[in-house]
Amino acid sequence: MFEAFGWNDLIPLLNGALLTIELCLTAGVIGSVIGVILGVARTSPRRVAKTISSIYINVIRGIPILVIIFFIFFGLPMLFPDLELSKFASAVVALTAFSAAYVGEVVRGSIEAVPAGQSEAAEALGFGYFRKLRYIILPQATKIAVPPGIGFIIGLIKDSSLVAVIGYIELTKAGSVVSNLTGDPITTFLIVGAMYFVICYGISLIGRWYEKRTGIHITSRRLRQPAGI
Amino acid sequence: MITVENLHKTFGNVEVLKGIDYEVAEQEVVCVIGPSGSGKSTFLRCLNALESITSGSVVINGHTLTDSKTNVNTVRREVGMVFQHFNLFPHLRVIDNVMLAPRKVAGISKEDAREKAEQLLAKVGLSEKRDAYPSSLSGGQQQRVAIARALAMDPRIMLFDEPTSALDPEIVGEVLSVMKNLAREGMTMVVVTHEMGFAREVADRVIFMDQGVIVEQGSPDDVFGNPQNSRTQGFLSKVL
Repeated sequence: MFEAFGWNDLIPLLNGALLTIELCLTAGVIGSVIGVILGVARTSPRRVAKTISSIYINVIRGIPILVIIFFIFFGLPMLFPDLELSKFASAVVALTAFSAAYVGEVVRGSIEAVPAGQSEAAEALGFGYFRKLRYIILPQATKIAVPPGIGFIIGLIKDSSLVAVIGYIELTKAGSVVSNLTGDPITTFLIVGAMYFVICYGISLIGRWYEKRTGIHITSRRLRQPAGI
Repeated sequence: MITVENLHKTFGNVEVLKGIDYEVAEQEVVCVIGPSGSGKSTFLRCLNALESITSGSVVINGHTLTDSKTNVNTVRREVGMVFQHFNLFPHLRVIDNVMLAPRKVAGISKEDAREKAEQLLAKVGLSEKRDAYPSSLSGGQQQRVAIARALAMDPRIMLFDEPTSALDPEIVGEVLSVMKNLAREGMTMVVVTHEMGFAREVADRVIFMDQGVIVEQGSPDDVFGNPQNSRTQGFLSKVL
């Protein structure tokens, strides 16, 4: 009943890899947009914004991602019976909720790592809060955020394998299906691992290239590293 | 031009300014001297609301800073500030450092802002550095760019917070000479400084601060030549 691992078995794995990329890209982009808003809110002088953002970030960071996935996939449909979430949508929502909190924390750390003198110089010139953020603080924070941000994306790609538990056929789930069909878990999971590695290493190379390209003028010598990421 | 009445500032339980009264007239150059921790930088930073004011009143150019209805940013546009550590924007070229506030805060056109920035860079002797990034400049050059950046908003008052304290001794002079020119052109200036020679030569009045109060003030000749208070005498005997 088992057949050996053949070239044909690569196709579902490649498909799975594409779905993993699609999933992480969607969740990563939406999560980053929300994360930037959360990070900015967390460092804002407005107490309400600060509190809401801080509660969200801390709650999500304190829950295992698997629990978030289960909650969205099994819990949400019970809370809202009219809501029909596909497996892909559930996975995206869960990973987005997760990404937003982590990116929020990276953004907060990066904003706080911009030396206080930058903020003072901008204020002394008459910049209001949002202009200061846009023209002075965020351009510098963005560069600081790249290394931890890249680290987070790599983590997200690996963590996205957890959505296999709700049966969404991304790379890990595709691996377990192929492994069952072929009876050759060694070859299958070596290939799955290699695919994750290629994706993650590729991203870290892009990150390194970006750092090199923009790193020269990053900021003054008194730059501190972002704390608490 | 600047009127300060009974200004108090506390950080937590520490009272840093204990009731400052002072007036600066238009075109006047005032130097503030005193030991570390005397509150002179805090005093200066209260003049453009970089420090929140605990109590008392500060009136700048007719705007009451301590009135909650006053838009602080309107006042700040009329008050330029130069910092000890320059605080140039490291992600922008020199010319863009100077152009940014006129464009984004004052809203003037790119062409006008550029023309103005080029004039100011020429004035501080740094035209050839217009396309450099701040990190490639010496401390003295960075501070001169910082002065040009502050001047780009056409301030009526300039505040200097120990502008030469972070500089190597041999390049202090280039920054001071830019400041002297500015004083000669009639800019109203408040300068916190350890450069007693500069204070003596350029200031119309000198304030000596210690422990959060103005201990002594007067013309440079009076304060340096004939200090009345024993704390002033003690301080000057150490630094002169």
